[in-house]
Amino acid sequence: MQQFDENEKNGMGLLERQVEAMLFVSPQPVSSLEIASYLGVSQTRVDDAVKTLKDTYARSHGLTILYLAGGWQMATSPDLAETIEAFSNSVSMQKVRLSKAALETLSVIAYNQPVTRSEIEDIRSVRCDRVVDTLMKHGLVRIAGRKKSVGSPLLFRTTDRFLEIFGLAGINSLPTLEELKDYKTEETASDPFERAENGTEEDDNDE
Amino acid sequence: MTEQFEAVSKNEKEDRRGFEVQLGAFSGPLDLLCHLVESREMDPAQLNLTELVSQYVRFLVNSKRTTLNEMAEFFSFASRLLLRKVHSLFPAQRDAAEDEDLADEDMYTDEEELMRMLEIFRPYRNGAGYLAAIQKERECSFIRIADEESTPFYDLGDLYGLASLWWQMLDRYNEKRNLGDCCEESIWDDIPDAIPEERQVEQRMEELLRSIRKKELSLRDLLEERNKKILIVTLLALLEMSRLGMVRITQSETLGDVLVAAV
Repeated sequence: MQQFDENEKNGMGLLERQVEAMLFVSPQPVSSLEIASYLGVSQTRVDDAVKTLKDTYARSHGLTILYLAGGWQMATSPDLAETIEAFSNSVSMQKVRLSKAALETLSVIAYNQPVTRSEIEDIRSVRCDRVVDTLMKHGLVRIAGRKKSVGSPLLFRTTDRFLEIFGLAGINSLPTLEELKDYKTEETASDPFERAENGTEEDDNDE
Repeated sequence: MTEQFEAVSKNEKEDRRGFEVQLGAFSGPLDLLCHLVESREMDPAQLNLTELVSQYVRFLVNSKRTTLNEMAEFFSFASRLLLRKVHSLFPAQRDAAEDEDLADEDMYTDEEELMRMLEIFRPYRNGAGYLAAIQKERECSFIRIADEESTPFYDLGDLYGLASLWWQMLDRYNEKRNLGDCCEESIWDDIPDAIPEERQVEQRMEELLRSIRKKELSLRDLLEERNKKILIVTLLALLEMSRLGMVRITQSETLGDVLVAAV
């Protein structure tokens, strides 16, 4: 046990190597709880192991570990984006192109879920049916039952895939609406929007 | 707004010598009905426009005097109602530009309201900017691509949606099984894919007349053919027969069966 602890201090101990191997084979994010239950150790030790791995990667590897949708996911280092994109066409398939309308609708759903289509339309003041369909096709939004009111309208929620695509640990990682009131969109929004609109394939019904 | 409107409608009512509509719960002048429908206070899908036209025809017959202007006014109001009804029944058919106009017209009644809406929406718009920024950041890292990911993503909705899809599919399957292959050997296979000829439409008109003379048939029955060519020719034949006044087409309730009868 003492030997094990010493290894851990030096960096890559058995636990780190086990966690690394599990993250390597998993295509989806894996939670600390799941890793802990397989390895029979505490969640805190798994978290520590991930942190050690992350630090080791940051120093001398081409990889990183992201915290997405409540789980850990091994990924390529952000600074190597261009190299990886040029190397493999299939990785560009991981990108989801969204128009400004789709992002706005997604933002309304994320902050009001579960929410009906007409509630989204009340906030956006334009029809959103096709945009919502597009978001569903991308798997970013799902139907979460029906509201108990006149006409039993469908309720929509964001999915885990939404968290994965946007690099969020959970829905709570989003800034609050209050904080967003003063969020500067000049430099952050103009570019990404143009980027999103240039690459968009969908036809939004409000633009 | 209401007072002003009532004053206007009163004058117009006198001018039109009192044509009043009685449609379901509504009773009053046509322009009021049109206003209520356009301001979304009444559901256009519930309007029985055939009944409206019948009432107007009765009014014309009874009054025996009407000016061209009054008739034009009726057509104007009736077509506005018809347009609203079509929109309410086929929301997906409206194009984007029209939606934008509607949104502008209906939602922003005044500047204050517009400012209020913008104020509510601003954090969400900023939220969209934030999402775009974090997505860009996230896209710099790539993950392993598993084989499972290449399988398509299915979202079948809730249990209600799934059940209704299942019943529809079962119906189609049973129908197909009952029909067998006889459909495939139909004489209609000879019809080229180009625009149907007049002769084909005339032939279909005769066939349809023979069927509906025996008994009134629903549009669903007449269009049950799976073959695209037959469908097109049948629809053209029905339109032509309707234009020539050879058939009477009625629908007793909204979204109910459309009945076609020989005149």
